[in-house]
Amino acid sequence: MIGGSDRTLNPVMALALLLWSFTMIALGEPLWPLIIAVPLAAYSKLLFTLLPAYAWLSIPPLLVLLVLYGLEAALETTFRVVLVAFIFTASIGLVNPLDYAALASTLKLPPAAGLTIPLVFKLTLYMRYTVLEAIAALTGRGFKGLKLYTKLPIPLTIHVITSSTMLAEALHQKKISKPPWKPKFTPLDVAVAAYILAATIITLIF
Amino acid sequence: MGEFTVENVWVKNILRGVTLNVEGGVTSIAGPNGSGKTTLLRVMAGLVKPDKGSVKRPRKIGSSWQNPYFSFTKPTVLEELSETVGGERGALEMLRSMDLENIAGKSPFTLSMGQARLISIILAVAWKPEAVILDEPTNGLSCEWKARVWELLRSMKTTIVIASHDVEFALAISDRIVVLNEGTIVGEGGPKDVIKDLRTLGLQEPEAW
Ligand SMILES: Nc1ncnc2c1ncn2[C@@H]1O[C@H](COP(=O)(O)OP(=O)(O)OP(=O)(O)O)[C@@H](O)[C@H]1O
Ligand SMILES: [Mg+2]
Repeated sequence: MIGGSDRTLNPVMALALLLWSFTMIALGEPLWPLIIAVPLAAYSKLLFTLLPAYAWLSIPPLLVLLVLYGLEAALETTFRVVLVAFIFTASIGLVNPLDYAALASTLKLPPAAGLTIPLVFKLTLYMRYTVLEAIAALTGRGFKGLKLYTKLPIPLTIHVITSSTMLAEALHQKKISKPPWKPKFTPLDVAVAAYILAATIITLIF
Repeated sequence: MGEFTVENVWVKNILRGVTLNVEGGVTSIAGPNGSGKTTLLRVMAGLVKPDKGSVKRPRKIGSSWQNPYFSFTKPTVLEELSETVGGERGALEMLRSMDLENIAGKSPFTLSMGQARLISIILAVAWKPEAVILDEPTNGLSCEWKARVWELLRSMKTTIVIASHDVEFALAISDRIVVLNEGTIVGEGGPKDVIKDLRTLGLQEPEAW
């Protein structure tokens, strides 16, 4: 499996968690999704791998908003950005990619369509590695500072194009077929469902 | 001439107390897959911070890594090299001296892996850094092209550090070989001195190339 982990969530549960989290954020209750997203992200073992990426993700809006609107607005937006990242890590990262393919075929979609969800996610992980690799290569040619960063997009773009061509060819040749199983529900799914239910009820009552 | 001083460097459990001094000449880091060669080079280049230990390094370090295509930013090989050496004449001369003028007008991104690697190595040395670090410089190169890399590197006066499991190439080009296994240095010396260490690790010696 692409994630290299046997800690899995049912894809249906993962998508439910995603939808519920965004609903809660929209309702102005971001703390509930945060409380479950952080331990789940940690449990998937992806949290620490992704921490630098989260930092990258949150620094630009933080700086821009800090200058434009002041500290409070900046912190609030940054919190939202990081929260969304956590929710994605928790829900998408914990699903066996092949379960998405299985889910897709249950919905009468081509299985490969289901696979694009985890692939996009894994690409973000891979991009972090790729950016570091490209920085290493350009530094080794003597580029630094502003020059380095203006040149960086060129090899990165070419790399993305060539690797997605290769990926498309590989997917085409593989003819991803319908996985012969249905995704199982695990105790983790039950726990997540219980939490969502409890949090929703508490929010509705108070 | 660039000097590296690596002192008791630890990186996770990948490098375990590596101490190494390099000044001048060609030094190769040899060792089996996963022994930590690339990680050691990254520490020396300043791309990875050690958990423990210290590294002194020259200010200007040229380098070429596993994927040579990441080094490219221009539409043609000639423009690429011209930017580095500061002019088309110098660049063309350099390509000609290496018998590469036939690819001068090509896009670097369409070069074969071997061609791309050679150009990436040339770009790493052409800006006259004080030291050069090369990860697997002969990967994917034919014998003839290995010989070109050999000539290029041997003509340079800077400190050169190479990581390679190409034992024959390492033996042929190095003044000094450092043998790495499971993150520690298990042997060190001239090519003749380390042949036994390499053999113990199952790194076979050459049939001639
Ligand atoms: N960023 C990283 N995070 C965790 N482990 C890593 C990382 N980079 C490398 N490793 C691990 O460290 C070990 C040494 O890797 P390294 O690439 O330095 O070896 P190498 O000697 O260059 O191998 P090869 O001959 O295959 O190129 C490997 O087990 C590798 O899986
Ligand atoms: Mg390596």
